[in-house]
Parts: sequence; structure tokens; C-alpha cells
Amino acid sequence: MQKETFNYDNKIVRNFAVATAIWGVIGMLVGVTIASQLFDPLYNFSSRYISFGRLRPLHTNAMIFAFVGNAIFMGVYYSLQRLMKTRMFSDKLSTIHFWGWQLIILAAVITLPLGLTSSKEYAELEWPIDIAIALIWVVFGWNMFGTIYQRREKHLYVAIWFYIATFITVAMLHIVNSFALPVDLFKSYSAFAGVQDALVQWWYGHNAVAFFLTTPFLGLMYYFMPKMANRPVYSYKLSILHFWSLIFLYIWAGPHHLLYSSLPDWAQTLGVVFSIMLIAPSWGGMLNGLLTLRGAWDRVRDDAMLKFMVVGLTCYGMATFEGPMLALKNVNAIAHFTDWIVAHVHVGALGWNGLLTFAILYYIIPRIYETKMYSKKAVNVHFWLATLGILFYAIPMYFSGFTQGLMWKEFTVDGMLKYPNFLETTLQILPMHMLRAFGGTLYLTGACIMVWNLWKTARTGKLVANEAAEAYPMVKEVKGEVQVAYWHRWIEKRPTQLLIFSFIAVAIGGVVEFVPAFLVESNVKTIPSVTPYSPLELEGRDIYIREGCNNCHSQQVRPFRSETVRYGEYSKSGENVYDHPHLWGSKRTGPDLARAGNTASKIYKDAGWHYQHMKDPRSTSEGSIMPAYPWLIAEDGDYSKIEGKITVMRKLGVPYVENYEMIAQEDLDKQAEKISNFLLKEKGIKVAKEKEIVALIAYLHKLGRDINTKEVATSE
Amino acid sequence: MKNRISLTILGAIATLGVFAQSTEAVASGGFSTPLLWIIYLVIGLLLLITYVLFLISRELKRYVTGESNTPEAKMWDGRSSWEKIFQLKPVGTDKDTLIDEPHDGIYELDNPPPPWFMFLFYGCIVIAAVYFVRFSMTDYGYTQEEEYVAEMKAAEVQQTANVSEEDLNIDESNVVALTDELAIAAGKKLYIQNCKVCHADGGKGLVGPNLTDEFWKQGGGAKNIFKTIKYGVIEKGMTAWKGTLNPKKMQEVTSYILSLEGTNPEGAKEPEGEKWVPGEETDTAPADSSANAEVAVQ
Repeated sequence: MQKETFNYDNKIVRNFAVATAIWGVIGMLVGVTIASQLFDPLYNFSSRYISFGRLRPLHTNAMIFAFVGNAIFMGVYYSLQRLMKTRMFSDKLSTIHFWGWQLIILAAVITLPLGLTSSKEYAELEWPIDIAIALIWVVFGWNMFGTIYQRREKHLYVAIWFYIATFITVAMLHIVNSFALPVDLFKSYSAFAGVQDALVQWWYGHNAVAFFLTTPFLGLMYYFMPKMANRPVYSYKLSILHFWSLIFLYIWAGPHHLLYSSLPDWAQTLGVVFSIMLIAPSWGGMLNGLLTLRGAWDRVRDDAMLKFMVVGLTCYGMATFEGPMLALKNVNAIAHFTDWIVAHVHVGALGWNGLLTFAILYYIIPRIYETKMYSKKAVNVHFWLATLGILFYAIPMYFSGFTQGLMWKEFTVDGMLKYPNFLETTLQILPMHMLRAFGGTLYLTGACIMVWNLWKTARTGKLVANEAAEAYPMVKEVKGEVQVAYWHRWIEKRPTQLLIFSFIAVAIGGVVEFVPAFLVESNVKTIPSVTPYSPLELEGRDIYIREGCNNCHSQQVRPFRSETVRYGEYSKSGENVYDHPHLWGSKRTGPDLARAGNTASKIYKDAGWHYQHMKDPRSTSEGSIMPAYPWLIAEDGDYSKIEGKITVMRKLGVPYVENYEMIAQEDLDKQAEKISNFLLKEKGIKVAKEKEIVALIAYLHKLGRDINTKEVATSE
Repeated sequence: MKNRISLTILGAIATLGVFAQSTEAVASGGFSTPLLWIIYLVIGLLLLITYVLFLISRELKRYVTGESNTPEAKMWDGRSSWEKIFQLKPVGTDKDTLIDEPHDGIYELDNPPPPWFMFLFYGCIVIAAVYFVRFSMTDYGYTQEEEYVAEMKAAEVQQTANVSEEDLNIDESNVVALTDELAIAAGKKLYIQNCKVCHADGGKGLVGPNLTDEFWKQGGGAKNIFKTIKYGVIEKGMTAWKGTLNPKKMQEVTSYILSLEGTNPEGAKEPEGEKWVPGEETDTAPADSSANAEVAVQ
């Protein structure tokens, strides 16, 4: 048999590498900016476009989809060609994939600061961009499967199992979570409401971590670790075990983001137990990686690239052990909504995704440029800056998380909250936030050194755009030929079946959790007194979404004494039935607002207070780190789309009476006038009814209000 | 084999903890009593000692029978401590487990996953199953609502533990203003903690009305003020405090507020409501707000 010759496409790998490096630095810069905003609101620079609420989604999107996303594609395009012994299926698809993805990121960079957001965490982009993501993702899958089908290797290596599972699961998650009905090109409402929206959102959010930040990187680890260490993979059987168990179990664990919320108890329990079961499958990947280094540990001392891999894998191990611990209800009770969670995700993101990406860049660039790294010393400096950066980031944030979590819950001996003023607990942790920003700066500095080093490296070499390679063609198996092999070999030769079985494995968890949550009525107990938002409240809610208030303020009072005393009655699922999308949030940088409109709640503030607070938060709350929102007071709201909004909401099942959209504008004016009059008469504040602040106040005063009337009704 | 058995026993004991948590433990914050931890510790120590004794006896046996002199035994003994802890084969045996089909030059070994890993894998599944059965299928579990009710009950017991029967019986029908300095000082402290946010320093008024003049929106005098504090004025934004402050404390705050009358602080808010003439016992506090107040404290 003759060997066939062909070329690997290195240019596409290089392109993705450049994109990874550039977006990485930009995303980290945004990260350092918002970290600074969290100890001094000065860093919001009084600009609406870079205020925390709008910039934070940009940071998360840039890190996940731009930095990590491009890194995945870089690694996959490099390793897939070599593992399949063929060039990528279509250069044209590769190009469309590359530029399409960069345009999507560019669209995110433009729309998110403009406040065009769906508010769903890690899926903030509006519907046209969502569609573009789906299309480009299909292009990626098409190109990948095209390559696999024209392969010269019989068996698919474990890395490729992970790539396939990643492809199919991300497609499923993205499409389901993005179901929405558009009002216009830039605005849509989630198809799901309240507790169901939250369940879908965290099924997505949790598994974005699993299938965008974890499985593709495990695949990359399985290729690059043995390559870098020049050692065999420790255990083939372990890779089979942890691949299938990981993808099957991960999907179920989403509800652990909603512990003690109004999600039904049974779903929360599922979230807990599947998180516990995830420990071993997650660790399987770390073990197989670290044990692959056996016999090469002496090299770790001298090779900074391997150091990145080892610390990265260790961070992965720590984060995946911590995750299940945080999913235990008694730990979650303290940790949820605090900086602890932020520390946890950053150990994963900076440690696992960041360090592995750096190592892979250091591996690939000199190879495709046929040269050596320009400065080995700089690689080493980068390693230490990155590691120190992670420590300076994580340790203060853990400290801050414990501190605040415990302060929220502390009662005095005579049974009162020790820190009744939420702001006190925020001021306590500001020094920790400064240290965190310093840690982030170290990490960013390291990344900048890397970019310089890679640039210099590329300059000393020359890109081998088409790398020559040769391999024997694949031999068709004769049917009935006796084969003595491990059972799993069967599926390793069948990419289509692997795709289907992966899909089945990942679909089960979602189906079991969604079907009862959507169909069994007892899961969302209706409260008759809960009414849909008035037109003005709905517009106010959209302003709340636009400004990203939900990035710092949760809307979910948990059933704890420390929360009901602080905020009022705990949240019920029936209260959120008209919330398309839900706005429960995941972090309390400021106090919870679920009862902001309930006059029986200590969190209630009148319209005058809200006006002053939005104009200058420091005037009502000394030392507050909330940004000011002067534009809400200065500018008129654009309510021209209220008709369409009401219509869309009705289509989604909100019971507005027939033809209500016709008089919506009128109702909106009336309510706005009432608030404007109140401000003038009672508070001496002159504010025209058209101003955005009026709508926002109307919305805030709707929050958690309806439950009162109901309780009165039943108690009478 | 033997250490796998001991690990299993250890795991089983650890899972017992999931059952051991009673609702009383939940009320105290979900943590078990110290006694339980001591028992765990003792059992753990005993198991550890047993395991060490087992290792020593095994080594002795190998030494006595001369098993430890074969080349293979030497390779196993030569493993690093980490390799022993992780129950790994010596690197030298890798060639025996190499699968001969490399992928782009990457070989795979046919090592089984380390035994402790498999224990972790199945152990977690067992714990998860026990947890699931307990909380979703039996009466031994509890819902978060039950947990909350228990927590609130415990708080109520704790809050009223040191308050005399007499003080607990203070209500709007029998309350009198206290005039002793101690009570006023206690009231002031409570005022600063809870009321200052809205009524400002010294009761000069901010979001809430001025408390230093003789004009009252809900009626002046100890009984009306006590009632307003207790049930709140929900529609105006005044919180009901009866779930947070015990009757004695509400009496102290009432007394402090009454002590402020006529202080004329600088920057005081304009008077609101009607002039209160002492001795006039008309009840102007809204009677229907108590139903709303009920919700606030539940």
C-alpha cells in the first residue's frame, strides 16, 4: 500500500491563535476595569456605555466566547487534522467559521455596551446574534464532521469524542435557551417565564461551563498533554469511563444554581445529587492528565509549558471538587450570591482555561512557524505572573465571600440582624476587591508579555501555511472479520453513532427536569393576586434589563430568617409567572430587590429616595459603590414600542385583555403622571412624566408587591 | 482487597451522617452536634490504626517469607510515596500495558483506573442515591419550607427566652412610657439601629416624619406610637416591627421617641399630621394594617 501525501492547514490555526490572544487581552482588560468599579465607582467614568451593569456581560462574553471560544477552535483545528490524518474538510468553511465568529464577537462588543441585552446570564446577546451563533456553530460542526468522514485513521481518539460531545451539546443548549419572541430587531422576550425560565437558564448556564469550558478543553488536554510530555496517556479505560459519565451527569446539575430558590424541592435535590456524583468523573480527566506526566515530571521543572499544564489541571481539580461542595445546600446557603462564587469560577477560568490556552499557544506557534520560542525566560515570567495573579485574585475573594456571607446571616443576642444595613457588609469587603483587581492586573500583564513573546516568535520564523504530511489510506474492514478488541472500539470507528449516543446521554437530564417543571401545575403554585406588569412597569423593567441591574441585585428572597427579616417574605414561584425573562440574578453586590415594591418590607423606599439614589447613590447611601444613572433622569423614555411589547407578552401567555395594547400608551401616561405628581407634591422634586426614571420607579414599586393583597385576602 | 473493605466501611459511616441529621439539627443551622463529630473521629482513628497494623503485618510477612527479594517486588517497592498513595503501578511496567495503536504518535496505556478512584466514583453514587431517597422518597427528609419554619421557631424561642412574662404581655392597650435613663438609653440604641435610616438622627425626620414635634400622623402618646411601631403603616412605608422587636423593646423605643418631643433639632422636617393633645385618647392609628403586618413577619 502506498502512503498518501496531503497538507495540514496551519493558516486557520494561526488565525484562531491571533484572535485568541487579542480577544484574551481585551476581555481581561474589561475584567480589570469592572473589578476596579467594584471598589471605586469612579471607574464607571460616568458613562452609560461602560457602567458595570453593561460591561460585566461584555467581560463574561469576551472571556467565554471570544478568548476560550477561539482557543477551542485553534486547538481543534490543529489537533483534528493531525488525529484524522487529513486536511480540514473545506477551507471555505474554515474561513466562514473564522470570520463569522469574529463578527459575532464584534457584534457583542457593540451591542452589550449599548444596553441591547436579553439579560440571560452568559447568553445576553439579542436574538439576531443568537441566530448567527447557531449558524456559525453548524458551520463548525459541518467542517468537523466533514473532516472526520474523510479521515485516514480508523479509530477516533478520545480528544475527538470530547469535540463531538461539545458540538452537539452546545448546539442543543444554545438553541433551547435562546427561545424568544422578538419585539423588533434589538429586543425580544424569553419564551419561558419565571421559575421555568430560571431552570432553563441554569441548565444552559451550568452546562456552558461544562460543554464550552470543560469538555473541549479536556479534549485539547488529551491531545496536547501527551504531545508536550511525550508520554503515553495513562489509562484508556479511565478515559472511556470519565467521558461518558461526565457528559451524562453534568447536564442534570443545573438546578444547583437555584438552591433555596422557589424552584421545587425535587428539582433542587436532583441538582445536589448529580453534583455529588460529578466529583469522580471530573477528576478522571485531571488524573489521566497528571498521570500521563509520570516519567516526565523531571521535565516539568524546566519546561514552563508543562508548568502551565500542571497548574491548570490542578486548578481544574480544585474547582471541580469545590463545585459539588458548593452544591450542598448548607454550604450554598452561605456561599450563594457572594464573592465566593466569583472566586470559584475564576479558579476555573483563569486556572484551567487560561493556563491551558497559554500552554497550547506556546506549543503551537513555534511549531507552525518552524522556529523556537523567542524568549523562554518570558514564558517563565508569564507563568509566575499568571499563578500569582490567580492567588491574588482567588484568596481575597474567598475571604470576602466568607465575610459577607456570614455578615448577612449574623444576628445579635437579642435577635436582630447584626448588620441591618446591607451597605455595611459591602464596605467591609472593599479592600478585598482592591486586592482582586491587583491579582487581575498581574494576570493581564502576564498575558501581554505572552502576546509580545508570541509576536516576536512569529517574526523570527515563517508561517508554514500548508504543512506537508503523509499517511496510509484507511482500509475498509471486511464484514464478519473476527476482531478481538475492547467493546468500546466499536463506537470509536463510528462518528455518527458517537454523535447520536452523546446526544442521547446529554438529552436525558434536561428532559427529565423540564417536562415535569413545565407540565405539572403544582410545581408553580398560582397566586391569584399576582397581576401582569402595567405598560409603564414593563418599560421600567426593560430599562432595568438594559442597565444590567440584575448583575448586582438579585430578585429572590431565600427562605432563611436572615433574609426574611432583612427583605421580607421569601419569594414564591407564583410571583414570577409573568417574568419573561426571570431576573433572579446570581450575585448580591447590592441588596436583593425581590420585595423592593412591597411597603411591608424594610427594603422598600419611596419614589423620592429612588430618584435621589439613581441621581447620586452616595447622597442616600454613603460610600455606596453603585454607579450613578443621571441619564435616567435627564432623558425621555422611548415608549413607542409598547404596543408591540404588550402583543408579544400576550402571545407568550401573559393575560392582558384583548386590545389592551390600544390603550396601553394611555395607561402608561396616567401612571407616569401619578408618580411625577407624587414626586412634585410630596418631595418637591420636579421631574417630567416622560423621563426614564419614572418608569424605573414604577417597576421597582411593582416588585414583590402583589403578594400582600393575596395574603390579606386569604386571612380575612 | 482488605483496604478496599475498610474504605467501604469508612464510606458507609460517613453516609450515616446524612441520616443522622434530625430536624432539630436543622434548626440549629444544619450542623450536627459535637458528640457526633467526636464519635466519627474515634471511629476514624480506630480504622486508621487497624489499617496501619494491617500494613505492618503484611510487610513482616513479606520479609519473613522472602517475597520481597524478587526483581518485580523490588520494582513495586521502589515506587515513590505518591505512587504508593495513589496505588499506581511502577512506571517500568508501562510497556506491558501499551495499546499498539497510536494516534498521531500518541500512545495509550491499558491501565485500569486506580482502585481508590473507582471507590470515589461508586461512593459518590451511593451517597447521591441515599440523599435522593431520603429527601425525595421518605419522611426522613425535609423541605426547605419545613427548614424555614423550624428556624423561625428556634429564633422565637431564643428571642423571648430572657424576657419576663410581664414584659411579653406589654401591648398597645397597656403600654406606658418609661422615663428611667436606662430604658431611654436602650430605646435610643434600638432607634439608631432600626429607625434612623428613615426618621434621621434624633428623630428630625427624613423619609419618615419628624418625631420631635407635637404633630402626629398616626396619633401621639405612648399607646398610639407603640401601635404604629408594632403594626407599621404599610401603605406609607412604615415597617411593622413586631416580628423583629419583642414588646419590651418596642416599649423602650416608644419611650425614647416620646423623650424627643420639643428638642427642636436643627434641620428638622416640617410638621405633618395633626396636633396631638395629651389625654385625648382617640384612636387614629389605622386598624386594618394589622392584617398586612401579619404578612411581613410570617
